[in-house]
Amino acid sequence: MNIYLYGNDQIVESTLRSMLNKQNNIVLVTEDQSILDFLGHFPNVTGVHNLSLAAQDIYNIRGFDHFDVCVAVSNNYLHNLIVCKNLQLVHNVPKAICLSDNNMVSELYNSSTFNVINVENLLSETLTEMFPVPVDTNQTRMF
Amino acid sequence: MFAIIVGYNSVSQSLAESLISAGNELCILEKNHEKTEYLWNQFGSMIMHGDATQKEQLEKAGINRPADVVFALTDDDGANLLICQAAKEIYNVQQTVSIVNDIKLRSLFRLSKVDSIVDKNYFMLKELENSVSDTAIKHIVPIETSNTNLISINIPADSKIVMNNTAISSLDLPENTLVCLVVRDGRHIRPSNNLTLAAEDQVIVASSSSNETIIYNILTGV
Repeated sequence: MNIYLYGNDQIVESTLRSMLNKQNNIVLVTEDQSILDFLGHFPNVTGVHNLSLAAQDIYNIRGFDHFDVCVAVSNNYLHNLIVCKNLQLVHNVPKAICLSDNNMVSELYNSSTFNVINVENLLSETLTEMFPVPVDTNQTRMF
Repeated sequence: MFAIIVGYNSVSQSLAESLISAGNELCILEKNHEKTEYLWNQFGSMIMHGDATQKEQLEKAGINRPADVVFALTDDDGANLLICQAAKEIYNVQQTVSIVNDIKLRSLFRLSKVDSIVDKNYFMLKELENSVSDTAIKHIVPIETSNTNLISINIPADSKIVMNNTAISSLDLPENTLVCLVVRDGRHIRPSNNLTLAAEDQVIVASSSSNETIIYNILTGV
């Protein structure tokens, strides 16, 4: 499964860990270089440094002709919304998971193909339940 | 008409003044508390402090009266998108208008069915582009609903169609191309089928972006 993961703090790290699996290829897009330095070396993880949400090259990642799911978990829910909606509507990604505590976002967008989750959901097992392949707990860093 | 403007800046100030002078009812919702206090003298109870990405604040502004139109004019494209979609989907507002701060998000806004999208930088960019452009294609304005542009092309004296006196109806223009207007010596000429173009004519054409070069070559080719 090709996963597009967007985020910029500790939440993205725990999210990434929860999705690490030999069958998942994860593109990690973040504004934070230190996150990339730390997490970009995990196996099956491609790191992309992003400074602009709209830049076309953050959606056209070399080696990835499609994404199966987009997960946006930054601490700015409006950024998460833009990333998820852009990938879904403009780049035809079939499933999006968007972190937001805003009830209007949930009311408007929550559906089978666009899941709006809050931090509590993330801390519980909701996120991993959304993925068909179980987490491989033996996954370790390469470096 | 009752309008809600979200975000206060130079664009919303001009818009607010114009809407008020035309006798419309208005509420300006601004997130920054200091700005709202400062603007109280000018707009009185028409200005309100609040975050329009929160339901309660939109409702306090009167969106469920319902508002006839919502203008999302903040610097945050995510907020603008959310406000327009909430206005449409939750509150049945008839018309939504949004500024797009980042030109590359234009397709997203269009696909999200925001009624009118105003690209903050489009006109400035096109003006700059036109001022330095050495080609004869000048972009006048995009037509959102048909995904076309109004462009202007100046006809050079050595153009084949001028030399051959080719009538407009005989030009092999791409499908969905419309010659809208010919400007000759400062006069406006309706482009009838048998009109022939002359050197120095300015031709205004509606066409899709992908056909602009083809049209340019037909009109100016030697």
